[in-house]
This record gives sequence, structure tokens and C-alpha cells, in this order.
Amino acid sequence: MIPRILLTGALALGLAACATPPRFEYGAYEPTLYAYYKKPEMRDKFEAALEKAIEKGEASDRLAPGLYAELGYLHLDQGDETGAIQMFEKEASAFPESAFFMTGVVNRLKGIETPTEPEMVAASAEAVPSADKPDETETPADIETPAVDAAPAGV
Amino acid sequence: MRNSLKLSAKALAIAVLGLVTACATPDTRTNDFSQFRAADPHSILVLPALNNSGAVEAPEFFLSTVSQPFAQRGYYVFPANMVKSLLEENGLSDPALLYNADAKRLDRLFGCDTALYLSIEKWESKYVVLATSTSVAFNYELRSCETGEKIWSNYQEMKYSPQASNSGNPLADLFAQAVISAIEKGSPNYMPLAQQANAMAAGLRITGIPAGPYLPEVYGKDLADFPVQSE
Repeated sequence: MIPRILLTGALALGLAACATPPRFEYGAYEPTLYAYYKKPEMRDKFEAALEKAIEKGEASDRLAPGLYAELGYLHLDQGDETGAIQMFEKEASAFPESAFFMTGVVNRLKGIETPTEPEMVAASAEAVPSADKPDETETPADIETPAVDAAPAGV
Repeated sequence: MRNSLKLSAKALAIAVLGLVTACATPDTRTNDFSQFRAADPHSILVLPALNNSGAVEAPEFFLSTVSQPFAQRGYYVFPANMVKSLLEENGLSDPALLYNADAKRLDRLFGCDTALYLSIEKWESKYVVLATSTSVAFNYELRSCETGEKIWSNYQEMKYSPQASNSGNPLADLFAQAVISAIEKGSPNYMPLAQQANAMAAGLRITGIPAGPYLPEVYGKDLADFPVQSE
């Protein structure tokens, strides 16, 4: 009985192995982000996983999109603006698709207004966690939200 | 006996998992990718999922599994956790608000080509006598950030059940099921199911998404797998 089951398992696993090698190096992004959502104290693990995945991705030319930015956001959340800006700028230069978003966030952090995009400024102004004002209560209601048209649609 | 039972339970678990993971049952459906091809997206903004399941923790757990399979198809995928946090800080923590709004507005915030709208339809574990079955189901919808139009959608449902395997020895099966069910009941393992659902949603021919610009060898050349029907 056992050999038969093992054989079934092996066959099934063989079938499952038809995936091509991944284009991007995500490392332990998924399990550590999951762990972080499950327990906020796992944040360091998530941060370490991001650093490692970035390092491996840079070395193999398979750097995954978003990882610099995710790491930058963790820096920002801890009050390290300089470190955050550095990561956001790296993301923008590694992935031009992110340049608009990253530049907006960086400009806001540097206090540069971008008058051509008033909505984005309004949004990212609140978007940046204010590490220097930890006692400030969140007032999401009076923020000029970018998207509450309430068209009758859904997924 | 004890040893062999342990072994067979393990083998069974592998076999069951194998069944779940087995790639690509051939799909005979046809799909029209003309809108997708016309939009030619380079980037995907993964939005926090709408939760239609009873599990409050499901959206965050699910979110952690979405970016990678879509990026591996050759797209820039925005930093999902950063995006989620920024949206929350902007008073958009309720996905329902987000999902009823025009995708074009996201473009002004993120400069995205497309946004991936997700809903969790199932995230549950049911214990029935000796067997536990865990299931997940998701809706996926890609909308153009430029026009707000839907350019692709998919639905995936995955189920893990120890009953899926039969060794031909009823007594051994019963023991093995009880062992697996006890484990599964203790902490239902949704993550492999979510990962598999996403991999299938993004990666299968005909129903998945065509290769993007970060897969230059196939980008724009996979018309047979992701056909344009019109004309």
C-alpha cells in the first residue's frame, strides 16, 4: 500500500513540476509578510527577508519589483526618512513603471510641492506616516480622498 | 505499525497535495484578449481584497500571496504592503469604497497601467466526521487605470480534502484521514491553497494573463495561448 501511495505522490509531484524558473527573486517575501500580518512583532523577519531577497535579486539580475519600496516603507514607518528616500529612489530607477509613484512620495518627504498633481499631493501628504507626531490621531474622514465616487459597480 | 501509519499519512499528505498542485487540467474555454492586448499593460497595482468570506484575517493573508505570481508573468507589480498602508492612511481602508470608485483615479495616485481588483469568496475549513476540508475561492479583475475598463478577469476555487486520496485499504485510509484532519482542524493551512489559486489565475494559458514586458522572449508572441478573437 505504501509504495503505491508514494508512487501516486511522486507522479503528482512530477506533474506539478511543470513551472518555469521564476523571473523574479522574491525570496521569503510571501511567508514573512504573512507572518508579519499575523504577528506585528514579526516585522523584523519581514525586513530581513526583503534585504536578503534584494541582495540575491541584485546578484542574479532577477531583482523583484516593489521590494526596495516595501523596505523603504518599513524605514519610513520607523522614522528613518533618509533611508526611506534612498530606497524609493532605487525603486524608481530600477523600475521606471514606479517612477511616478516613487517621485511623488519622495517629493512629499522632501517638502517639494508638485502643483501639477494636486490630488496626489493631497493624498501622499497624509500617506506618509508622521513618525515625529505619534500622538496625532488619524482623521481619515476629512482627507480629500482620491476615490469615493461610489459608482454602482463591484467585482 | 505505528511507523508505517505515520509514513503512509505523510505519503498520503504528499499525494493529496500533489493532486491539489497538479498543473493545468487542459482548458477548452476560449477567451478574447483583444482589450488586454490593446491596453498593453506594463504594471499592475494589487489592491487590498474585498472580503466576502466570514474570515476577518483573510484579506491580509491573501494579499501576501498575490504579487509574486502576477509579477512572474512579466509585469511590474507595485509594493502591495506599502500601497495597502498608504490607502489605509488615506481613509481608504474599506475596499468597498475603493472598488466602487473609478480606477482612473488610482492612476493619478500611483501612475499604474492596471489595477487588480480582488474578492475573497471563500476562506473556510469544515470538519465533517473524520475529514476536514479547507477551501478558498477568489475573483480577480484587472482594470485599466487609463480607461477604467475591465480588461481581464478570472475565478479560482481550490479545495484541500484528505478524502481526495484512496489507497485501496479502507482502514488505513480512515486512520490516515483522522491524522490529517486533526492537523488540519488545528490550523487550517490556507496559504498553499491561496498560492496555488493565484498561480493558476495568472499563469494558465487561455484563462491567465499574457506574458508581460519583463518576459521579453514571450512578450507579444503568445497569441496562440492568449488569442485575440475579434476581426
